[in-house]
Amino acid sequence: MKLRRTRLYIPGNNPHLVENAGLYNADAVILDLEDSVPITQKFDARILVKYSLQNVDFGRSEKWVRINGVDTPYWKKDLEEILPYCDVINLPKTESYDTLKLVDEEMSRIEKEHDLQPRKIVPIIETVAGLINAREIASHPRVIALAWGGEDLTADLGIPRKKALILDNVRAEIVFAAKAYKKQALDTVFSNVRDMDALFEYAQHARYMGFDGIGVIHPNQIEVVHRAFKPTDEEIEDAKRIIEAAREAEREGKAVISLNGRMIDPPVVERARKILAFAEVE
Amino acid sequence: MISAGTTEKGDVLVKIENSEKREIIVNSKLERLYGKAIRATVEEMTEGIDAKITVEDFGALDWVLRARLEAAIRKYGGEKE
Amino acid sequence: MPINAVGREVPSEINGQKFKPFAGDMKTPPEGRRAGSLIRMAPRGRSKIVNSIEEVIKKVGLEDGMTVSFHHHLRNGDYVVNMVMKTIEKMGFKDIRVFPTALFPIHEPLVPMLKNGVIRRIEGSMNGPVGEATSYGAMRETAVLRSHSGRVRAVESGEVHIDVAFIAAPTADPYGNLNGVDGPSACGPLAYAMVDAYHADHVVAITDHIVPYPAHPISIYQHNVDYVVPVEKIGDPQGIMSGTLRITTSPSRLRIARYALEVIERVALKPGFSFQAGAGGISLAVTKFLGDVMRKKGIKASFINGGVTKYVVDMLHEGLVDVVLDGQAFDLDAVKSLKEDPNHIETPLAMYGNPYSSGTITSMLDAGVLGATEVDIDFNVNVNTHSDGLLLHGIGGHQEVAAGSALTIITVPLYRYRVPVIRERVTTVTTPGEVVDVVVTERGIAINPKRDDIIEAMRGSKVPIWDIQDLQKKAYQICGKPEEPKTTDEIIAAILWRDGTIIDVVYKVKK
Repeated sequence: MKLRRTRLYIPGNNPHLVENAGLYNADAVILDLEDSVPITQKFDARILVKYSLQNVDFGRSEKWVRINGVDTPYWKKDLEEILPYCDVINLPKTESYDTLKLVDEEMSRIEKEHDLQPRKIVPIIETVAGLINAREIASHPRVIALAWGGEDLTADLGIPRKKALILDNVRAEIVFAAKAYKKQALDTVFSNVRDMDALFEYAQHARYMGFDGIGVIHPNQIEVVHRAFKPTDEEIEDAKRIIEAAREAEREGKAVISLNGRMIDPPVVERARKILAFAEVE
Repeated sequence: MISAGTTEKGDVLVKIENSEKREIIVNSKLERLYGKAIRATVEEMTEGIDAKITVEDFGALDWVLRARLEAAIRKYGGEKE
Repeated sequence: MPINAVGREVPSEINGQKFKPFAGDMKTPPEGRRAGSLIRMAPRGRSKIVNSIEEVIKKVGLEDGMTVSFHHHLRNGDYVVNMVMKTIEKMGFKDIRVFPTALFPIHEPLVPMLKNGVIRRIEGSMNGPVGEATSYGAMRETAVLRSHSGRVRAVESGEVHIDVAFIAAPTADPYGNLNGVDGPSACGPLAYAMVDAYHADHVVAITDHIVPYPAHPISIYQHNVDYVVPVEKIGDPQGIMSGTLRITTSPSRLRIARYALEVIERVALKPGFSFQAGAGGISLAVTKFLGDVMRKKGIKASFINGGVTKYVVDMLHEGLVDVVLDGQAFDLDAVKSLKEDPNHIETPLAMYGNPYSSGTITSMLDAGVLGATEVDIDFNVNVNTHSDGLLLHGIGGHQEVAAGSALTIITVPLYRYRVPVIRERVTTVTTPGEVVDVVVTERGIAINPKRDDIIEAMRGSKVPIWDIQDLQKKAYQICGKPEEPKTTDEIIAAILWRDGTIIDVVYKVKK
């Protein structure tokens, strides 16, 4: 299982930040061409990101690019330049399955032209319409995870973000939609880069809401989030016992897995695998 | 005149403007250490462009310089956005 | 010219004075007896106050060619060096040798005096414009740079004789007792000035805060001070004190600090251990993180040697460390603590790291974390010049902390804005690789191969461990290979090891 506990947003037109982005062991680095890049710099940023993907050592981080939304004149040019060099397209303002079809066609064309393996998409749900369509969106074969954006979504709902009471309901919708299709669910960013205790709480909240990771906007947040996503010793011990029981059942050719006289269902084994995956790294 | 890049540390600002003859101007704090390397990259990337090319370097790595040069050249060639 | 123990070709004579080539730390035994100052007798009377600098210069009988000394406790807020030197210039003196503990950007007014003949040479650390001007050949004679302790050794051995010491004194009484903890220009200890007070022929205190006799506490005693000159201001508090120093927030620097911390934890951290603190962003972070670890593990240090800041003072007052030894204070918390806490002790610089003494503080250190402008694949460290050859920094206490500390860690980024910090060969050797144990960068660490014990202690750590050659290759791969500095073969400065041997020289840079 590929861990995506942290995805680090890096402004795409800042060479100094881009060149160091791979140093911090984020599970993914997102070179951003969208909100962090002013309109006058879209062109420069796209080229800079293209070069960085070919020249910077991003270490063990997956290489993502957040392109501009399909409602802008930039997204096709973004794809044209950067698709050959990145792993995942982070697609803002994904409203419906049709948005994905549109982007998918363009990606397929470029992939064919350059003879590339198909790239993945992580759509960002940022509107009420997108949220309603989240399950369809999650079903698209290119989609590996669902992410969401709090600022735009609360704006769309017409409520101030800081006072919004609906956010955990939104989170639940995202998690259900993603998990129904065995995709990962990714929580939105935590924007206070100083308060590490609050970040830890936030990340743990995300974890127990069912998310596989959150977005981070500063490298100093990464280690804290990885710690928050690390299972407890008790969880790890439980998981090890379950996996051992599953192996034993397999060895003995039993159809039913049991542990201390209790029957273990397949989703429980699956959860145990996931816990061990989260535990093993770092 | 068009430009690409910024004046932030670690970046480079490339300007291209129409001119009678080809002219390359490089200003860098790292002149003593990378002056030759910077000029070689600028010459290589802008070969055949008869314009005044100004490079103001603030400690950019070579790939950053190349990215900014490519952006500037393509904008100078008429590409938009 | 002879080749020294770090492979550098060095002259055997500088400014007509003989020097030995660097032979390795503690490899050149001392000779002779300590030098003395002129014996003088204070006239009858209860005040040593003289009303102007001009008058005091006449009284001490300054002559062309003499040596005047200064200390740098007021750092970039110091007015005294410029004030005295401008008076010397106005009075028409020539060929003065200036012997400061260090100069800062505020001392740029000395640059024209290098050219107009008032100053023939400066022997001391030069941070900024004076060093840069020297690099381009502004100084008539050759500059000599010594570490803090090397300077003490030079004075004690008679290598440098001070004719007049001008001591900026934040507090003085009319009879010449001085301290640095009170007054509008308070700076903390007066440690750098002590050796000058003992060994100069004439000692002049310059102050903006006169208190009734006797001043207390006393850092420099009346029997060594000849005159006291009151002036309106000896410095700018903004430049003297750093304000609240902040721990770096740069993620790559924090990573360097974390890696350094792990090395200290595995190699040096034990009950009663000791370490050197500093004021650089990474050093502050290491101090702070070390405090956190000590608190968690219930470990108490015996002493911190500083470079004292609020972070060190907080550890003292929390009981994480028994004693703070203070040669330099960076903020007002440090000054206040030095004044009020008996476990916060002002130490004369002669005690700090002079190898030609009966023992130093730095020899008692378990861990020291230092910076650098460059490090090379032989672990040699440069803190003096930039990679383009310009002389822009002093040595400070780098040599003695590196030489004395049981664990010496150099914290540096792999490169700074395209300039590789880990290089094949440093531009200038300040500190030899033989006294450097671990180089810590944001990408991992390199351990000096002769330190098997550290290699062993780091086994199983998640900190990436590199061969230093590979770190250097990585730096060149990212930045490209830099051109060699464009220098002439004219020597503008000699870099002395703390024992007075020449470890390297700095060449004039072409404009």
